Amino acid sequence: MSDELANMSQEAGELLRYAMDPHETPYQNKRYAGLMEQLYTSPNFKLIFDNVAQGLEIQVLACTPHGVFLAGRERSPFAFKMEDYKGSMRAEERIVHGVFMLAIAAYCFPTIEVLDQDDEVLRPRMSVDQVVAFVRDMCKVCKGNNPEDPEHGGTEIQIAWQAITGLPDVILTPGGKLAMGCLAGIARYAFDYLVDNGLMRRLSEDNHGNYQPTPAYRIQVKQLAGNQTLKLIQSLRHLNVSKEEPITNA
Amino acid sequence: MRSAIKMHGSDIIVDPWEKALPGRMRTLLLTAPVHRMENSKGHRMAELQKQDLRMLALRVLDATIERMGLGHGAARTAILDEVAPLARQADETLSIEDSRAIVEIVIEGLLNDTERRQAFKEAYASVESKNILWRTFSFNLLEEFSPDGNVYLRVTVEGIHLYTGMLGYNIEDAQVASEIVLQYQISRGRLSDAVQTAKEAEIRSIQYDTKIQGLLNAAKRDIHQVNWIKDAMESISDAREHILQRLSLEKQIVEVIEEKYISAEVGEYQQLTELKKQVNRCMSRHMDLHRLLISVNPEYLDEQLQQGFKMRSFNRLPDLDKEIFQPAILFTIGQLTEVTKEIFRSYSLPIPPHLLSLELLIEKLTAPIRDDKPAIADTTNPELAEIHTEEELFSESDVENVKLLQQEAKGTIRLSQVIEMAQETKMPLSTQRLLVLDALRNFGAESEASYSVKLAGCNFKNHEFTGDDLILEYKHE
Repeated sequence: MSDELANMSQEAGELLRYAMDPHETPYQNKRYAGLMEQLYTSPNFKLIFDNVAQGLEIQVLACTPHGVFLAGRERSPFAFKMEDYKGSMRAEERIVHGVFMLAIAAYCFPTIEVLDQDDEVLRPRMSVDQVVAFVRDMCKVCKGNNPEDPEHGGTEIQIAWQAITGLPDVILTPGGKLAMGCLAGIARYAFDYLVDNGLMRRLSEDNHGNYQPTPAYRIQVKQLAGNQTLKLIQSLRHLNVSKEEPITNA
Repeated sequence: MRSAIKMHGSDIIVDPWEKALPGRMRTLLLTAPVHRMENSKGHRMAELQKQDLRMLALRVLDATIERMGLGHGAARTAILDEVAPLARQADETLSIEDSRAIVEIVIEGLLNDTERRQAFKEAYASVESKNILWRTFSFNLLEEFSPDGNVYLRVTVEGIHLYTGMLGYNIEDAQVASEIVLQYQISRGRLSDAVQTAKEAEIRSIQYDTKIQGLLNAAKRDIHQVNWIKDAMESISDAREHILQRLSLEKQIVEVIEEKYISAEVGEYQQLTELKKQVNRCMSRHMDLHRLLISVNPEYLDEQLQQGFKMRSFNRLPDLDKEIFQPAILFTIGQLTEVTKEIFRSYSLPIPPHLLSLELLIEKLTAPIRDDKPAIADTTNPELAEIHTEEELFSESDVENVKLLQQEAKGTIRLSQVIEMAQETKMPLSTQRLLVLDALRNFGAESEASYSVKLAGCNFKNHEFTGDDLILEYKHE
């Protein structure tokens, strides 16, 4: 085995290490930038990098000037587990967190044109309170379209907006922090998770937290947008919309 | 059908009104967001009443464009620093924080933050095939972007159009005109005008840069969006020729400036230096753009290679709000169970699992117990010992004795008499000294003194004290 090949293999591992660290960026770490340059210019290095990633069941989502973006496949030791987001969540709690994740993306990218802009164009600053109001307004529209009390059944058949409507906007702990049992607490948790993963910047504590998406967030949302499960929502929405009144004043 | 109008010795081609109208309408519409900002200021904060937000908006664009000439764009704080004093000039009662908040409002207005930074959308009527059709003109004026981890503001092509008022003009022609004017101004010694013209020429260079860059970015995003042969190749070829001419012209301008240095008067040196810097900056921008144009075709071919084999998705990107978020909240918890896991997964980096190393585990478990530092700062009181000091010159009884003497002495009395009283009652010497020092302290102290002290105009002498006698006047009620 040639020295060059051995070096490349080591460097491919190094690049994977940087890509897994949300706080490493090519514009701040020259070594990372150098390895990315090699990824673009050396077909052999790219082949080794792709193969190492494949061997670890890691999916290379995108290679951009903002870094390499990875995701663990289902069988990978790096695969995402729900406990990585938050441990011991009830089904409806998880759904509310999921809806907030969708709401943040929808708030940031209100139209296809906006989502399709250059990765480096930054989206607006937003606060926890703004996103809570955004979700709350949408739930009010849903409730307005369904004025009768919903039939209460098991958790499984409860509709997402009903689960959200039952939660207060803000509850503070005795220490003055946001409690997890309120919408602001859930939104804050979601934002902080995105910050930890390098997808948001925390700007201030005003309005329970002010944030701005990083270019990496747009890249991840574009990936998410191509996801089969979201396409499932798109296809099923016609089914649901026929049962519910369409949302007109959104 | 075109008509030609003779103007200043040159032919200007004017399109028939049907063709020209949509372009002119768009020119007009570019100003709509700025007017809207001014008209709606009453709803926002009282401090805005004395401000012309249109003027501040143009100044924000101006300051940003100026910085675009030097690098990526402008840092938000730099724009706030530059424009906030203008807001304070309009209303001197404003605090620095309030003036910065007003500029923030203007920046947010230009970014269209209230509409979550979507493009401004202005509807207008257009005459097409003798019918009136309603169309929408979408545009952005200002953008915030992060090419290298730092955050910058930059003015869009439409924003530059709005600022320069150059709508309807061909960029290339405007640039040529600007540089001819610049040469004329230098040769006539109109240097302050020449500095202004050079600044305008730089703005046009930036505008040109943005146009070409936009074309390239569009092709990079989706190669199918640009008809490379028809649109891009022709524009790039024209632009390359144009930039080469500009570089040559700007070189000539620098030569004219250097010649002017020889005959310049003292006050003109600074203007000439500024002018030279400005033209050099334009040249540097043109050279960067020229380098970009040289590399554009190979880059495009690479893109074509990469994107050409990429399977075109049959589904366009979804509208996240209307097609995903809104339908999702109408789904049941059961329907959304799988979806949410996918959402979380998408946002999560692969988390490296902890690989057990028995050696490391045992090493950590059996590590010697360290004296951990206390969790909070050590705030125990230090051991302090009182250092020895000399005893005070006067005791409390001395103070009490002096008070007694002063109470006994009524009206006006000489110091020598009070000392005699003390000696007669056998008060200690320390009391007598305190009495004398107190009188000296009050001498000339006027309002602060509890009694007034004046010179008696004669000396006194007893076995302990000697000197000028003093008259003490006590202010007893």
